[in-house]
Amino acid sequence: MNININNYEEWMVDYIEGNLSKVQEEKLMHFLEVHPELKSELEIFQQTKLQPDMHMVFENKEMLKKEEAGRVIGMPVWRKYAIGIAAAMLLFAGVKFLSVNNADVSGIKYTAKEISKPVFAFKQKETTDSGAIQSEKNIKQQPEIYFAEEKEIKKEKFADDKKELKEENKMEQIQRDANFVTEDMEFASIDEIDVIKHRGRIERDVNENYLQYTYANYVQPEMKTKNNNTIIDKYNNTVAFTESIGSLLGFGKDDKEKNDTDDLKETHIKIFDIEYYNRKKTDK
Amino acid sequence: MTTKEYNEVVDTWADGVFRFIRKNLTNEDDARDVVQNAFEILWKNHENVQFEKAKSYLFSTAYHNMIDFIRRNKRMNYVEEMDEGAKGGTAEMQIDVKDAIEKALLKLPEVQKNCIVLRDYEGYSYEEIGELLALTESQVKVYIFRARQTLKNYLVSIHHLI
Repeated sequence: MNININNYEEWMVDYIEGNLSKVQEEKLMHFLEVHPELKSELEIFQQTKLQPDMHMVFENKEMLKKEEAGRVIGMPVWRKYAIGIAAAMLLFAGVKFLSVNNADVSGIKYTAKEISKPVFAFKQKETTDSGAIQSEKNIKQQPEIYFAEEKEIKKEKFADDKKELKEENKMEQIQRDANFVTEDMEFASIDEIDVIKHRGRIERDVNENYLQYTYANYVQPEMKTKNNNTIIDKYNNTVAFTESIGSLLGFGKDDKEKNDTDDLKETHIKIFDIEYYNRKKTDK
Repeated sequence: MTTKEYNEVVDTWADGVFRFIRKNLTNEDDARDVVQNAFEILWKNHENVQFEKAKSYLFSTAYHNMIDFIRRNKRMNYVEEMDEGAKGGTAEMQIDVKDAIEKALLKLPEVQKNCIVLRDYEGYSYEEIGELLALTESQVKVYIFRARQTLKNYLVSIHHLI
């Protein structure tokens, strides 16, 4: 069909819709040459091409979206963070554990050095009991001798009993724990810590909640840190913190009441040198 | 279609489908509801809908949702909107062609309006529009022609008035 005065609108619309072939386009242009008064109509037709209002958008598209599988989903946000923190702490603990092991030699040295002080006190008490009161000056002249005696006793115990050896290992661990805290918890300085160690008491406490008790025996309770916490608060906080990490990962502190008749699946984890256990009953 | 692809559909087509629906529903919240509903339906069926077909599925779902919505709320204000332009005196006549077109668009019969909006906003082919609105290709072509003719006449009348 050819273009004429009755159907030119259809041709124009087809033109702006892009439906015309090259030949048809030429026919339309030729028609407009003949009817120039209709040219403006084609221009107006071109204005009927709608432009979307790009400012009109669906606000907050996120609400339409769904969580992708493979991501960690269905877990409350706090747990994501908690696991992140726990992972970071484990890494930190791992590094710390290595450094604690490396520091073992110096740690023992430190303990040995500090032992001299409580030993004085002990000896002073002893001498008080026997009635012969020594002056502080006199005590200070003998510390190394006394320390040597103490060491000998330890050696004897090692030889005597394997159980005692185990206890001794535990005590070493306690010392490491103590060192860890003193070295890393922003205390004023190690020198300022007055050790009032009492060896007999420590041994008794080993089988109880030894970490907290023993620590109290190692240092003066009123010793304050920069944050105005006592040194024991600091240590307890550390223990509580590691415990919370342990429990977050499903581990608990070692409970001695293990029923031997049960088949148990046991997993160990060590955080800041403190062991946690996860025991699950298994069906036979 | 995977979840990732579904989310991609949200990013790519949410605005477009919203604009399309918004041309029929003057209330923005109603339009949002219809679009949201359409996405919910798409999500429910996302495993059965191919990514390539997602756009037409979405537009079609939204369109049918909108029709249902209009049926449920028969006294829609989109009808009232149509008279507004006629009431406006010459003094307030908009010189801005784009505004004039938008006003004129609202006066078009529903089917013509939807055809031309899908054509110009989304670049749909006659065939696609036909599928979506349940029309034949030639019907779509005729409706688009009539829509443009009406819009052109409206613009010409404005030009004469000015």
